[in-house]
This record gives sequence, C-alpha cells and structure tokens, in this order.
Amino acid sequence: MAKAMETVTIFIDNQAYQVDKGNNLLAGVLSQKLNLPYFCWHPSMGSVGACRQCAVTQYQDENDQRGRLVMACTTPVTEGMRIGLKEPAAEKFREQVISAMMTNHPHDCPVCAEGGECHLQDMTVMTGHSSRSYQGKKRTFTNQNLGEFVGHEMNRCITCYRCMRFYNDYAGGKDFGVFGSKNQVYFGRQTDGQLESEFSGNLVEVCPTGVFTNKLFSAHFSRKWDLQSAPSICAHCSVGCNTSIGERYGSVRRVVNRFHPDINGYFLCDRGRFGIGFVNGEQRLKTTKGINQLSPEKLSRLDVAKTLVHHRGKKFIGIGSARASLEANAYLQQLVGSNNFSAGLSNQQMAMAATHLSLLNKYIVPSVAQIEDSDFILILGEDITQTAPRAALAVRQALRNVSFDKAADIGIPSWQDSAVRTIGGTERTPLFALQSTPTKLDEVSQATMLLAPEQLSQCIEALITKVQLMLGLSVSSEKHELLATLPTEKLRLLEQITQSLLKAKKPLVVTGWSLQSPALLKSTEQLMSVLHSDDFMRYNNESSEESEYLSCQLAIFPPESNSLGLMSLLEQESLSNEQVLTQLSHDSGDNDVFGVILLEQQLANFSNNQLQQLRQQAQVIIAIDHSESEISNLADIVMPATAISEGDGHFANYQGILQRYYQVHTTLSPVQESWRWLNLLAISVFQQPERVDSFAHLQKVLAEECKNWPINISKDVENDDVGIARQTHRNSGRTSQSANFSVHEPQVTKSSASVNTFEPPLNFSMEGKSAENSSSQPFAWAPGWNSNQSINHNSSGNNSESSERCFIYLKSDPLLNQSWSASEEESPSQPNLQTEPVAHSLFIRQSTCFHDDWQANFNAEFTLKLPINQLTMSTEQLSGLGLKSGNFVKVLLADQQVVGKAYVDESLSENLCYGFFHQLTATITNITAYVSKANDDEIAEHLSNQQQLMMQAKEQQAQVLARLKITDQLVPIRMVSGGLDEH
Amino acid sequence: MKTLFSMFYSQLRTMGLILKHTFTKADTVQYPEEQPYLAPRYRGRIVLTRDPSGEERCVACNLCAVACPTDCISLQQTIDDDGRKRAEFFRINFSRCILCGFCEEACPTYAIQLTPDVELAEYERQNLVYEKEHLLISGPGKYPDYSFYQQSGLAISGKEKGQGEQEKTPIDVKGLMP
Ligand code: SF4
Ligand code: SF4
Ligand code: SF4
Ligand code: SF4
Ligand code: FES
Repeated sequence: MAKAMETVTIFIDNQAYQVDKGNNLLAGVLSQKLNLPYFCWHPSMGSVGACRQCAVTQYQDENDQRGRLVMACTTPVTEGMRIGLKEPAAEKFREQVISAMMTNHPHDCPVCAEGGECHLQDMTVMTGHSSRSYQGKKRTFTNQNLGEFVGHEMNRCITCYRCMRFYNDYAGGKDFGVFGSKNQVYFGRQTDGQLESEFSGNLVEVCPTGVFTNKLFSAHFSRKWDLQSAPSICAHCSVGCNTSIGERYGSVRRVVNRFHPDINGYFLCDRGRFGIGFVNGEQRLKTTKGINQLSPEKLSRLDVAKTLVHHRGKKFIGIGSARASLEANAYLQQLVGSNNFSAGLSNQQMAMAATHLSLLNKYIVPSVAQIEDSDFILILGEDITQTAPRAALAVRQALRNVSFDKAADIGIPSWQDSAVRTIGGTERTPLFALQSTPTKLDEVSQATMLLAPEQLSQCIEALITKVQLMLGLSVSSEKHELLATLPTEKLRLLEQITQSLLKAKKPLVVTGWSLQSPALLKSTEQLMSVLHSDDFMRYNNESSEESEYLSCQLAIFPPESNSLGLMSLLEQESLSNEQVLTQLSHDSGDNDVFGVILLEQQLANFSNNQLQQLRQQAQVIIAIDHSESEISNLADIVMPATAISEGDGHFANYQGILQRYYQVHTTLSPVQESWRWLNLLAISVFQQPERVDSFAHLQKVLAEECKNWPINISKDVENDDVGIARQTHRNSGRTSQSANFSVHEPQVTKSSASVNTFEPPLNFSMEGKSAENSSSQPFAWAPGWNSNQSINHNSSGNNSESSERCFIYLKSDPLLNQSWSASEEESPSQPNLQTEPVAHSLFIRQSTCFHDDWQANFNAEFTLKLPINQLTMSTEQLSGLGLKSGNFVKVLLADQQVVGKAYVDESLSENLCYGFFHQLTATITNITAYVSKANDDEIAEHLSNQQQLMMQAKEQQAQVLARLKITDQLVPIRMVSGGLDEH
Repeated sequence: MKTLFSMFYSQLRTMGLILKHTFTKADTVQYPEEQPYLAPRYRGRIVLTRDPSGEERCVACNLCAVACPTDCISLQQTIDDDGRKRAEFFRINFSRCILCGFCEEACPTYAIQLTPDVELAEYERQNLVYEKEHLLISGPGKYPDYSFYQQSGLAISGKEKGQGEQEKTPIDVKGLMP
C-alpha cells in the first residue's frame, strides 16, 4: 500500500523519531521497534479500530501536560506530532482493555496450540496485566468442525474481527462470517463444514489468539520454541512463497509464512501451508534398490561404487526435473552433457518453454506486490486461484486499487480499511478473463468468456486487431474480416477490454501453462509486442496527464516450483521426451545410449506407452527420488533422496528469481541430497575425480564448470560468520530427547559453510546470532514478541530487493529446435462404438489447488478433500447422449477411461467440455474426450473406488500419525548431514 | 594487655563450647540405617501425579521442559479419543537434573511435583533416565483437589462446553434474543 517512503518527525515520550508519512501512528511506533500493544490492525489489512488496545496519549504541543487518548492505529502521523507511550493513563487504559478481554478468556494456555506464540499472551504481558479480577462465570461457545485443516476453539476469541476481515474482505471467502451481538459475537460458518477458501490456513496466523489452529500441526504438536526451523521456499507452485519449516524429533511439524515484501507478504495458500505432510508420508523412499549393501547397518560409498562400476564410461541420458534444485539439475546436466540432458518435457512443452523463455527475456515479470499494484488485469487461460494461488490473492487486492484512488482523492489514507471499503463500494479495477474453465475469480471480474484454447488464440488475435484499430493503425483486410465474423457478444467483450486497456496505467497480462497450449503463449507474445510497440506507448504517454504509464507487464505461471530454474538450463541440443526415446532406440554401436538417470522425476509427461518404451530400451534406469512412484518401481537402481526440508538448494520462481531453501533437519542414512548421489555417479560412472562434500563446495564446482552460473559465490567477509541459530534460545529437552538410547549427548550436526554473504550459514543448534532480515530468518521472533507479529519488529531490515538477489541466467539467443514443434502423437482411435451414442469434444482439465501438485498429493488430508469426478458439457451434447445433469458418464481420455458425474453449463460451446478426474495427471488436458453413458457396473465400480480411496486416506492418516509417534522416540544419536561416510 | 586477655578468653570459650556439645544430642544420623526427616516440600525425585478422578494430570504442555535449566525433560503431546491431551512419552534424565524445582513451579496443572526422596544414586548413569511409567504415581501428590480440566475451557468426554467450574452454558449463536 505505502509506496515511496516519505518520513515525518514525531516525538514519542519527548524523543524524536522519523516515521513513514503514509502510514498510521501505530505502524510508525512499531517501525521504531517500540512496544505498543494492538490486536486488530494488520500491516496488510489496515486499521478498523475494533479492539481499542493501541491507545496512546496525544499532546497538543510541548506545553500540553494532559493530552488525550487516541487510538494509534486510526491516527495519521503529522509533522511534529507529540505522543506519550509511557503516559500512566494510557498504560492503565491498555491494561484495562486486556483485563476486559480476559474476563471470558478460558484457562486454556497449557492445552492451547497457540501458547508460546500467542499474540494475546504477549500483549497481556506487555500491558502488565497479571491477575484476573473478574470472578464471575465465563461465557462459552460451542465449536465447529471447519474441515481437515483448521481447528476452531471459539472460547478464546477476543473479537478483533481480523479473521472476518481476512477471510471475507481480503481473500474473498463466502462461507464464513460473524454471528450474534454484544458480548456473544461468534466467528465461524453457518454450519459445520470444510472452509472453502484456498487461503483458510492464514486464519491460523491472522487470528491473534488460539481460536483457529493448524489441525495437522496440533495432531502432532510441538511448541514453537522447540521447533528447529530454517528458511525455506514453498515447493508446491511457481510463485515461490517464502516459508519457514519447523521440525522436532526428526519429523516435519508445520509450515508457516515467512515474510517477503515482494512475494508472499504475510500470507500463504493452503497447498503450501498444509502440503508439507508428504515429507513424513508413507510413500517416502528410505532404502536403496539395486545396490548391494555389505554391512547390515549402513550403506557405504564402497557399496554404491561397486554397483555403479559396471556402468563406468557408458553413455547416459539425464532427465532433470522442476522439483529438484537448480544445483542438482545443473550438476546432472554437467555430468551427462547438455546434448544428453532432458527436462522431462514433451516436444510441445519444449516449444512452450522456448516461447516462455523468450518472453522472459523481453518483458519484466511483475512480483506479487507489483501484481497488487496493477490497474488492469487480463487473464488468459489460467485458473490462477488453483495453479498459483498466492498470485490470485494479489489479483484480488489489485481489484481494490479503484477504491484506494477514490479514497485518496478525498484525503483518506489507504490504511483506513473500512472507510476505503465503504467508498469503494462494489467498484473494482477491471479484470477480464478469456479462459477455458470457470474460475473463482469470475465473480469479481468485469467480464469473462469460456473458449476452447484454439478460439482463445483467435480471440487474442482479434483483440490485437482491435487495439491496433483503436490506435489508428492500418490492419490487413483479413484481420478486418476476422473481426467482422465474430459474434456480437465476443465483439462487445473485446471492445470493453480494449477500452479499459487503453485507460490503464499499469496493465498486466497473466497466463500460464495449464492449458498445455503453445499457441496460447505464442499469441500472448504477439499481444505483448503490440502493447509494447512504439505506437501504443506513444498513445499512452500522450493521454496520460500526471501519472507515468508503466509498460504492460506479463506474468506467466509455469507448473512447478523450479520450472524456470530447469528451463534456464536448456540448450539448443537438449532433448525432449520424444527425442529421448528415439535416442534410446538408436542402434549406433559403441556410442549407444546405455541408460537414463532420472533426477527427482516421476515422468508425468510420459504416456503409458512411452514409459513402456523407455523401460524396454534403456539397459539401466537409475532413479534418484524421495517418494515412491511408478518410476521408482520400474527403475533398476533407486537412490533415496531428500525432500524439500531435508536439503539445500535454489528454486527459481515464476519471475526467475533464485531463492535459497535451507536444510531444516538431517535425515537418516542412506537418504541424502540428490547432488550427493550425483556425486557418487560422477566418480564411479563418469570418472570424475572430484569429491564434492558440501553444498558450498558444490556451488564452487558448478560456478567453475558452468558458464554463466547465476548464483554469486563471492564471499568477502570470511570466517567470522558465527552463523544463525536454527533453534530458538529456549529449545528444550536437549539432554533428554535421545537419553533413552544413551545419556551421552550427541554431537551437534555440522552445518555447511556459506559461499556468499547474503546466504549466511545456519547452525543446527540454539547458538548463533539472529537474522538481519527475513530472507535468512529461520523463525520469527523479537524480544517480547513470540508470535508471528514479531515480524513488525524486524521487517524494516528486509533487503530482499537488494542487488544481491540472484536471477536465473537467460540466454540471449532463443531456443529454436525444429524437432520440438514436431506434430503430436496420433490421437487414440475412437472407442469401438457400442450401441450407445458417443459425444466427443475438447476436454479441458479443471485445475485444483490441492491435487495438481504431485508431491502435495501424497497428503491424506488432500485426498480427503478430493472433488468428485465430474465433467461439465454443453446442454446439447449431454442431451444428445440422452442424459441429464447429474447422471454418470464414462470418458475416454488419452488412453484412460474414467467415470464421473456429468453437469451442464449453458455458456459452453458445443465443442468444449471441462472437468476433473482424479486419476488423470495435470498434463492430460486440451485433448479430445469421448463421452458416453456409463453403465451400472461402471458406476458401481467407480463409486466403490471413490469410497475406497477415502477410506484409504483415513487409514493412511492414522498410520502416519502412529508411525510418527514411534519415531519421536527414535531420535538418532547422531544425525548426519555430510553424506554416506560421515561418522 | 587487652589483646592477650581476649586471646585467652577466646581459647577457653571454645574449649567450653566443645565440652558442652559433648553432652548434647547429635544432629547427624546414621544414614542410611536411620532416615532424616525431609519436609514434603523438599526437592527430590520428580513424579507425575494424577487428578482427583485418577486421570493423568499432565497435559503435555511443555512448560516444565522449557523451564528446565538443564534441558533434561523431553516429551511429546498426543490428543486421546477422550479429548484429553496427554504425554505420548515423558522422559526425565536425572543424570542431568539438578532438582531445582523450576519444572514444578512452571507446571500449570500441578502434574509434576518434586518429592522428598533424594536417593537417586546409580552405578550406571543410563539407569537415571526415567520414562513416564517410572514417573507416574497413582495419587494427586501435594494438591489433592485440583483438576485442570474443570478450570479449562476445553471440552473433554464427560465435560462438555459450559460444564466447567467457572462456565456459563454455551451461547446459542442463532438465537434472536439480544
Ligand atoms: S489464545 Fe493465547 S492466551 Fe488464550 S489460551 Fe491460547 S495461548 Fe493462552
Ligand atoms: S476468532 Fe481470532 S481473529 Fe477472529 S475475532 Fe476472534 S480473536 Fe479475532
Ligand atoms: S503453493 Fe504457490 S501460492 Fe501456495 S504457498 Fe506455495 S508457492 Fe505460494
Ligand atoms: S508443565 Fe506440567 S502439564 Fe506441562 S508438560 Fe510439564 S508436567 Fe505436563
Ligand atoms: S489495533 Fe488499534 S484499535 Fe485495534
């Protein structure tokens, strides 16, 4: 909200301070690291003055002795303003506000999951309220079951309204509200049930008390002070939200938000927050396969070398992946050579990657904060609420820019939340969507249209023509005709879009990969080039009066957390999936490709056919991965790798910014980081002498070997870096947690040195300094502030915008490999027609926040949230099959047959249908679906499968919990972080 | 002269006192045959107590562990089917414990208590590691009446919302009365 920072001088207890002019007094006081209690104000949500906790005394001038009480959060700062924080009347007032809140507060802290990081506890201590004077009976509420993720304990509420303001006002939730009156106010849903918003997990952090708690964390609970944490990056989509992962007794407990001013700010989505369970999942690979282990206790390097020596000097193809770190991918590429390196992408996807990279080269990609700033948004074929949820939340905030402007016109600052909302009314920043499935953003957009991907590209072309016409440019007659053939309704929409676009000062175009359509990216490229043409710029600079026109920004969301990191490694000669298979089938004598190395790659983009081909033709498949998959079952050699919280690395987000995630905790041998396995391969198979034994060492090796290594590894200040503590200073149980095995305390795990100054080393202990900014902060804490609100006490030092930020290396020449755009595989033949009629139309997969990510899918809780299989088609098509909405259909897609319920959407055209089938991976979209009536057997089978799936998930949930409780007591004597042979 | 006198006096007085003590009863006892009296509040071996209804008092809140200056308490919380939180495991490493009693002071449920048993010697240090089964006693210890769940707002089986000692019946949120 507050942009360029202008400061004013204010006097707090007669001391002069410089504070931000655009913000309120409370924010100003906190920015000076002074303690002032508050509840309802939130840095991202502004002030409403609901809690009356932030009272301070304001004086008229130096001579004023009495002053008056004001609420700091609703008071603007003015030059020379004088306030008293320590003034006794104000202090007393604040103490009494807490005292009143406490009258009904339950005696719950010991059993409250918030205890130890509770803002209410902190504020109570801060005001000095130490014993309750109220002796009457307490009011109570009953709780609701809010679904799999968020627990509810209403007795603890202090009616600050933050939950409501976040869930409804900020995140656009519909199924949550406030009920009752006077001191009986209740926050919850109308009835019990799963919270529908993709952002419900933020309630846990937004609520200053323990009303909303993380259910998954509570089930296997640890106090915040006991968690060993490290800064991490969310591994579940390309937004790259900053997180902090906490571990205790060898298992991951939870993920919380880690403040980043330009990306996630204060909020995460539920996929990122609750998706971490896969690290503890039953599917984790914990032993090797195909490697003969001599000693029963421990796998040694020698064992691995003995197995691998048979493959010495053979030629391997390496397939990297978008969920492995940039380092591991680069190392693999360096080992096999770029002409044997593949990203696991099909021809079509390689073409998309090429376009994507060239777009990145040309246009600056906005950060999430910049998305929030835009005043015109056009979404092209991507359901970002499901595929890049945090960005969708930012889009929702961008829609308020109209209200901010209106408020500013009459002198109301942006932090006056309720005033701004009242002024804004229902008016919103223009948002348009041309897409193939309906989305949750539809209800807040000005206009949307459902189109098949092909028409979508056409529509974009028409839009380009429209814009060119508006600019008074000449267009070819064909284009004119094209425009003329469009139906009026489309024309009207295009007209609307163009009008708004020409008025916009900070326009933004958003698209992504989920339609799997190279054509969409191509036409986006054309659109962008028109919007960046001199004519367009001139038009805007002429028409704009005061504010500068910012050239149109483009955000493209690739599917995975490190998609861009992987794509940045691609070279002209890199292989597509199809090329990998041809290479394997080639019989070229000695130089024959012998096998494949799969780096954290489940080969989701291979069809079943292709997989079989791969298995038949590769002599040996070496899979390095952390979880069981079809591939790990197929592979000859399996090497268990670490998951996100167990290793170090960098991910490149959708902007191409490389962000470091740190190892949170160590693993039990033989699970080790992918690059350590690659190092063993390097020595035994690729005959490289070098032994890489730390992450820092790996960085140095890569910087030497790869030209244009993007990560700066110069380190100026050496040796005196004491590091940052991963544990809090009150971490407990050190001399007891492994005492069941030995009373002799284990040695502390060594941490890897750092290679540059902006990624300081972190210690596996409570020793070390505290982080200077949130980019290397393992957990949020400030003296007196145990909750996540402490971030307001150290956020000012955040330097993520500094020059030290690394960006992926973009090659200047575009990737142009003709064979990538080769035509697609033959589509599967029509199903042999039986008696019943078959309809066919283009199928678009509906993205779902919880099921699109392979890793997050391993969470039993996510399975429990699985939407039912469904297909939505046009009325004519469904009735053509003789069916009604709600009937079951069977659908043949690629080579799989699935069953689901059919629904009708009036606005769908004949040739388009959309739906979700949990059996199908995310890349099965934009292909022809053959739909027919499902017979009773098929329906019964489908229903029982669905039921079984749910039961399995429930069982799995219980199993995991039971296992974790056993392993809690098996804290190994010495956790090793240095690979197989460290003792 | 004066100094000389005081020196002699001091010597004689000392001898007198010693002589007197020869006839008083000895404070030292023939430990271990004879046991000295230790007050109930004496800080010795730690136990985990039960509430008046016989249920484990400890709610596994971790406050004792965090208060412990030698970090010798570790535990893990679990939520049982009856809604109560209990310790999945609870371990005290007495080879580290300095019997300071901070854990007892920190405990909000009176679960952890120090007892006057100070005989904690072992030949093997490893034997000084006590698990929950070794710590848990069957009575309420020094506080016979206190039951945490009756005070807390948490519902457990047998005590619904509003049935705690200090609670009113739950609000009907959808009621129309002001
Ligand atoms: S919300 Fe905070 S103050 Fe209230 S019971 Fe929980 S920890 Fe204690
Ligand atoms: S539930 Fe939490 S966030 Fe909502 S009003 Fe109550 S205390 Fe505030
Ligand atoms: S899944 Fe994406 S939007 Fe959600 S927290 Fe992770 S990075 Fe952020
Ligand atoms: S402080 Fe008391 S209730 Fe809490 S864990 Fe320790 S013994 Fe249990
Ligand atoms: S923070 Fe100022 S009134 Fe709530």
